[in-house]
Amino acid sequence: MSLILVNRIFLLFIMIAGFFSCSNDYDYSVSEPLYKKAITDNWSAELVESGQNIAWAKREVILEENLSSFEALGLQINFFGDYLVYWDNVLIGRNGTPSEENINNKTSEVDRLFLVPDSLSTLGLHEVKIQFSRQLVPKSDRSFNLIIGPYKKLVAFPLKQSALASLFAGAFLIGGIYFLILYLSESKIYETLLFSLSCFLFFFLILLEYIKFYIPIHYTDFYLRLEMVSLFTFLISVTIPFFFSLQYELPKKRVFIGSYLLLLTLLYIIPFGSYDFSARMFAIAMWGFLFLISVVGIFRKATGAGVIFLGLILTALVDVFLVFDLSLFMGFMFILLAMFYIVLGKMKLRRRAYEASLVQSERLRNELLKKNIQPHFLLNTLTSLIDWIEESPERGVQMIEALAEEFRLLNEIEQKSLIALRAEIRLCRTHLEVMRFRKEVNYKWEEEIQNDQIKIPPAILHTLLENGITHCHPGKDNSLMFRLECRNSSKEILLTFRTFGELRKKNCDPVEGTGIKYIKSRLTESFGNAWEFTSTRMEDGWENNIKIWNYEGTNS
Amino acid sequence: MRVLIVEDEARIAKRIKRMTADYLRYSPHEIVIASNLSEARTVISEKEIEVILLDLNLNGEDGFELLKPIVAEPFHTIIISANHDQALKAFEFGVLDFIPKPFNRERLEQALGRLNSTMGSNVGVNFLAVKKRGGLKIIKIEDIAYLRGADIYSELVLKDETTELHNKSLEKLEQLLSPDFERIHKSYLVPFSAIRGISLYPGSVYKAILKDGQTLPVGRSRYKRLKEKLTQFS
Repeated sequence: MSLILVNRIFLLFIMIAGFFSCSNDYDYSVSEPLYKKAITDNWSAELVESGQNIAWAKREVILEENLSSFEALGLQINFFGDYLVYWDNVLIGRNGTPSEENINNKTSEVDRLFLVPDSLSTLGLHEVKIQFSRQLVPKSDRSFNLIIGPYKKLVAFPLKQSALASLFAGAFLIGGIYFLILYLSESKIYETLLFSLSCFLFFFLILLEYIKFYIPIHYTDFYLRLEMVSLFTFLISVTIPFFFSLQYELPKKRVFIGSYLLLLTLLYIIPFGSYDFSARMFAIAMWGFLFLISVVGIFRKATGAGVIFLGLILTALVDVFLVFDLSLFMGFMFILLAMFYIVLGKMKLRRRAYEASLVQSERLRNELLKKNIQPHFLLNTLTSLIDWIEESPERGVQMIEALAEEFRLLNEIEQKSLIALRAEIRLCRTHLEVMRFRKEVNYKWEEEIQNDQIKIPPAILHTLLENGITHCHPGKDNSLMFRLECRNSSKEILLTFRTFGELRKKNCDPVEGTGIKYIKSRLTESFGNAWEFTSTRMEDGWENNIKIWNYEGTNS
Repeated sequence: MRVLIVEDEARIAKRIKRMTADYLRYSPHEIVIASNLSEARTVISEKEIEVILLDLNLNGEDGFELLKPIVAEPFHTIIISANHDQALKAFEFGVLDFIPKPFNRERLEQALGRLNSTMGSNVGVNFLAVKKRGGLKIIKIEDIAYLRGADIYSELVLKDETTELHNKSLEKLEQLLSPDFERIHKSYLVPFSAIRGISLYPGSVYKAILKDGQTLPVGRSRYKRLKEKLTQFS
């Protein structure tokens, strides 16, 4: 299902890309730019500095295509500097204030579109000349570039690009905000935060990339923008692989991550001369790292690795077929979709685990309730009770009272996941009273408690007591002793429960019965993994030890 | 009559003893209480028990594992248990009766009364456990062709023509098997559905002819009843 979805999205992208990938198909040819300093100089191909004054640049164009009627011709100039534009020596426009540039009042724009008058846009040879000053970055080697085409198309092209980019930017912004809120309010899964961060980074990246189309950029700020784009691309190249490397256990993790970061830093520092090239290098490095991770993931049959792999292949395909800027965003859209898939997966797992724990808690509560009414306990007790009543009604009544007390105590604690140690001890001693009537054994209870208000899960000692009665024989004097010791600090609890008697089964260890499972489930419910339970044979009986070291972090 | 009570709840054990003693008060009897299985085994090996009153859930052990060797013994078994849903399975193992706890005098006496009755069991045993050297062998009832008394034991003659020896007497097995099993002779117990007909042989000897061709003797006193039953169902 998700494959079909991805397929559809891909087709949509192709269509949109095709929509405005060919921005300009107007036929013309243009000569190389020529420059001169003073009006009396000769034109040369070498760029000149304007200094505090004016300099000149020109290019010759040959218009080879007729425009349709009522269509105007546009001239787009890309240049660092303030200038006046002449078409065939007719002044057709101005950009900024040449030779009077003011750093506090930057008015010129790097990209500027001029309308060529109807009368001047005939087929054939024309000259485009600019009278410029470049006072604020005199050492710049940026050349004089121009594009010619139908005015409307030249206006529309950046808008269309921005439109699509804004769509993506909006999606990333909303994604970033949503997942940030989700992380802060509930999720607390780190993937959510990383995903939110990645979305925000992408949002800013797109904003920076396309801001040139709707905010005029002065030539002094030109490289600043590119630096920022580079920075954000770098951050994305770090964040996204970080996200994925946390998902999958890489062999020799440190080596890979270390060398990857080193590579990225090198790419950032080394001036390749072209920002586009640097960005592309980042993208390729990131793609390579992710490819490695996804392959490892597939080998380990990790969830989602296949999706990432697919995303990377699609990214590569998109890159092959589309122009660079767009391919970067669209391509990494797939990666982001893969991340999204993983985040959703984690949230689903979280939810499932939570629901499972609720079910488990219910189950434990049920088990506790059923202790009252297990046939073995209840019917044997009632049979005993009948006999006691027949023999001695007073004793019978005493037995009923003890039984009622035990039922009442069990009822009181069944809703809770933690009860005071004092309550548990009361339950145990009441149980012993009932058992005295049944088994006619002299049960003895000894305790050494540091603090009887500490909270432990319900019916744990009760279960151990039942086990003790079942597995141990009373001694020759028909008595069976139980001893409870409890020590605790602010963070730890240590419970030792001993039964002193002869073991019924001399040679085997008790199989993990439902009683022990109940105890372990209860400990996990309240303390996670921070507990230890041991049950061992002693010379003179049986010893159970429960150690809890997450006491502070419990919930009632 | 020697009775063995195997019950780990002292109070209940005393109750059973008291009521059983009362029931048997007109005849000589001895009642022993064992509170666990090893004690019970000691008693079984040392004395000749005629009936065992057994709790299936002694000290949390699995009742049916300890039941299997016990039903292979020559004496009858009566279960007294708090686990009522084990009743059906217990009968399939071949117990004389299953008394659910709590029980009263009447119910216990009803069970003890079955020791002397000749009626078969309503539920009917599903398999018989046979003691062999080194362990227990379980024989399915449907594999039995017929049973033959052999002194105080019984021979189980199987359909595959092998024979197994069971410790219980024919009388005792008759009480456990379903009414389908007909005591055609003092020494023969046959599933009624396996009988094709009866014939008279020279010397006033009656024989039952089984569907598989075998012939078995029919007791003179039992002939009439068997004949009636055959005509009724043919």
